[in-house]
Amino acid sequence: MMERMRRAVGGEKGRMGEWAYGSRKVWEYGSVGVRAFYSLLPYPHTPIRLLPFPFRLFALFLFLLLTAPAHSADIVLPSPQRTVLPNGLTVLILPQEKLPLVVFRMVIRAGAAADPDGKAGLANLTASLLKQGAGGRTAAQMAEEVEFLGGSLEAESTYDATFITGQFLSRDMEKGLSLLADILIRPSFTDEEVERERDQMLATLAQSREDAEYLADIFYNRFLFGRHPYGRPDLGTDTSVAGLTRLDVVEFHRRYYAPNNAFVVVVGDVKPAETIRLVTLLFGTWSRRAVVSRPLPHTTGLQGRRVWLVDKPDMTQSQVCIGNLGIPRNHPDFFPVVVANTVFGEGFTSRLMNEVRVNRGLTYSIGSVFPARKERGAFLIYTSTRNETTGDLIDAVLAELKRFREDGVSETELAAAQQYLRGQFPLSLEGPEALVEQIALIELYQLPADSIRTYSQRIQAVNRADVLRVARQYFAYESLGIVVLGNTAQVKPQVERFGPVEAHVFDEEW
Amino acid sequence: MIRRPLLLVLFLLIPSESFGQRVQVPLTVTRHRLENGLQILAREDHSLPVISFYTFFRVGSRNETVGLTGISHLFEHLMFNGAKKYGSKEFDRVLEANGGFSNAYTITDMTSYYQNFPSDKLELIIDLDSDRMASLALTEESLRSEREVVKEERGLRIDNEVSGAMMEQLYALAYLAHPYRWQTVGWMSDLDNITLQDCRQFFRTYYAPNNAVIVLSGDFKTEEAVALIRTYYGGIPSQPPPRPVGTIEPEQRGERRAVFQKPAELPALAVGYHGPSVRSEDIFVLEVLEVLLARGESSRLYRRLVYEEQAAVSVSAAFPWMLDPGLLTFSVEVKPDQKTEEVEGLLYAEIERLKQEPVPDRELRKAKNILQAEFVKGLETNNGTADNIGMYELLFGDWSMMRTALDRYEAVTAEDVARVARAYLSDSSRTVVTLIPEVE
Repeated sequence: MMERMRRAVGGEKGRMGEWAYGSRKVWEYGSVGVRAFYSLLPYPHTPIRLLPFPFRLFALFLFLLLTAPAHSADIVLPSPQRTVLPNGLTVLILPQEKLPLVVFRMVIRAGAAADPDGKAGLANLTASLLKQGAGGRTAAQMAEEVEFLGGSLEAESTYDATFITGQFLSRDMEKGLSLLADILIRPSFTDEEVERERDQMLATLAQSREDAEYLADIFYNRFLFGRHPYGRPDLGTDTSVAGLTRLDVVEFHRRYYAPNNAFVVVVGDVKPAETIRLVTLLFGTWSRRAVVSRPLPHTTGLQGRRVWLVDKPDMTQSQVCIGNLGIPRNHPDFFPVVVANTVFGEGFTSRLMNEVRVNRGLTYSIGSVFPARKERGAFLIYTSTRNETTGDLIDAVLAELKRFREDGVSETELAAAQQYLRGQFPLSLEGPEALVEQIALIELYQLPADSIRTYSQRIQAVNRADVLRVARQYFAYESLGIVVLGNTAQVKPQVERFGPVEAHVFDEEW
Repeated sequence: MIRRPLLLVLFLLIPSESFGQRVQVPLTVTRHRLENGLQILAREDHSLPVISFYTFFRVGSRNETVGLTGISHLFEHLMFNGAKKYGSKEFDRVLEANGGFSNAYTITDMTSYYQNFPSDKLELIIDLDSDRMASLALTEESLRSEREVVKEERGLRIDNEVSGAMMEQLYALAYLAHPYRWQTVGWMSDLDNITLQDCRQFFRTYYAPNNAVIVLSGDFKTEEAVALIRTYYGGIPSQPPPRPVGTIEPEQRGERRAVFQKPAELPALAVGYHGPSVRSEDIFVLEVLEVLLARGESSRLYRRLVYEEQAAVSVSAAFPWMLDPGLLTFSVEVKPDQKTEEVEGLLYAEIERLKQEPVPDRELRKAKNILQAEFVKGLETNNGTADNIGMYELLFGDWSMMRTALDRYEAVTAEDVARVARAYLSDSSRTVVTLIPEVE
């Protein structure tokens, strides 16, 4: 399938038979899921694919369109019913009866950032082992039981949390939740499965080295965050994964998988009273225990301009990442950043898209994101171009950054971005899967309970001065990192003018 | 004048032996047709103030000829570059400034455009979209810039992505005559050679209202929406129907093999067998077959290749729905220390087992449950619903095939599975591409 712009990639299988590797791990990076795209409550690991809008020289008629009354009222959704069980497990339930489906997500408040030093990948290994045998069932029996119901049960860790998500027909909710309870509370973690899963992870790492977009991002994070946990790949490295043992897994599970360090969200064609009864029955005996979370160090960011080249001589295109630190999810500047980034780097009319793709034809895909996490995440501009135009592409990006920081946005651009964000927001609430994601993010980052209802107002409250201020603060220009994954021999002469160049061999440290 | 809408109410019945319950999903779609041949399929859903508006054109790389490969997809990009009323760059700007978002995709058999937007903007969207169908502005400048963008896209998806490159090799080897030979993105040199004249001709022929279907799902009143569509699209003249695709792929007699050399981390294997057209009775049996073999961790190929033998990182199967006989493909990423020949042997052994031994009841039931749950999930959003309605309409000739899909899955028997495996997964119609990683 050829799309105008890549939206969703990874292990997805399309009906039309586009080639899709059936990898078990879907790289969220680089995949602009439609949902993530609209989500203003960004999924922690997925960059906030916020939205677009430039609007430089625009005609009067457009102005008239824009000044028409705001289109849709604030979204009013019933609040999820919230219950805390005696063992500390928080339960959030939102009935939605449109389709006979139920989606639930258990969130453990510990992810890859909690991997001990030298053990990167442990949170993900632990998560993926949950399903490989539990509650007296083998891995094969477990997979068969889930799939027999036409359901799914997937576990993975982002930096800030571990998510176990189940999707079933609503008539199968009881069975689905009981499978969840087994894998969460009673995983087998046999030696054989640990070994198998670790080998699988190593092979997945090798596979990931063929994905230039993902790879460039890994290197970018390493250079940007250094020794901070956000600088380590959440799937680990060859060395770290090879060293993981069953004891590590058991210890990680014992330390963090506790009801008082978790919450569960259930959305779909369900009855709250019945659901609470079921959750209490299945999870009520899960015992509370003291959880000591490792506090995350503060990130420091880059001083001055640095260029990192990662050599992959067979590539005919350079994969480019540019940026510096962004914001944490809880930051008061979140909404101004969302609006500013919409103008600068999201969608088909962003300044980056307009200048670099539409006017210059230098790339197929370009955008900027702020993956906001518990601590400050990155500000990242991602793009690619053929080897010969790598220098031109970086020039064009830097020029846009400079202009954005100097001039900010016009009233027209601001209004357009706000209208776009508000118009697209309801689409991030369509269906139980989307709602589970939004509710889980609000709970995980302890955002205001009225986040969905007040979203529109908060976007609308951003003014031009706010945008200019955050443009100067977060859209780095003087101090920034440039990572180019590609053919170093061809690219190096084009990038030396941007700052001190450090050359890396692609295979090192994997 | 609009023909009286045909009202079809779809109750999807999901049977389950294990639970003895049926699940109902109401889906109401009405059909309308303008005098210029434009078809409209409308489905109301008022749960959120949003609409998904799709336009499907009956054209894709299947309709292309040698020398003009990739024109359908390149043209899809050009549809965003300005028309008469909304000029250069205005489509996206007006749309996004009004809270909408648009994207499009091109595949072998169709090209599809969609807008997701707040429901009070319906007329504006119809104005925008009809403007480009009525009077697209095709300019040298727009072609020049978009050509470069598409070449970058080809670089990203095919030339610098192992999986894309492998698929290109497989199809080019499996098809001798039919346009399915080339990937939708086209060959690089053809992208360089497509002219503005080619694009004008392409537009006139394939983007006529009588070659299009509009599907909308969401928060609108059908009568009003259809009236608006008539106002804006009604005056666009119809064109003579495009020349049908007549090429028939000759029967493959004997296995074809190729080795693909490229720097890569892992060896890989791509295997294709010639399958039937989507209109074949066997297409739903093949869905079940695909699920049995390669969907989920309890699937046969995953169990054998990835879990038990630990010979592969991943395995997937894609039995695509295509208007002309398509290719049933398997892709395996082989572990670095394993040999592709051995993995190939394991794959064929599992295929043979399906031909020889009847699938146990519970396993067959599982495959049906997976497909039926997937079907319901496809209706979770307006976008997914509209996309599905359009896909069924174009591929099967009538969206209401959706009404029988679940029954067709349900009707599949163990004998059907074995019969269809024997009919299509035969050694002599097989094409194999292996990737041997080159050391950089």
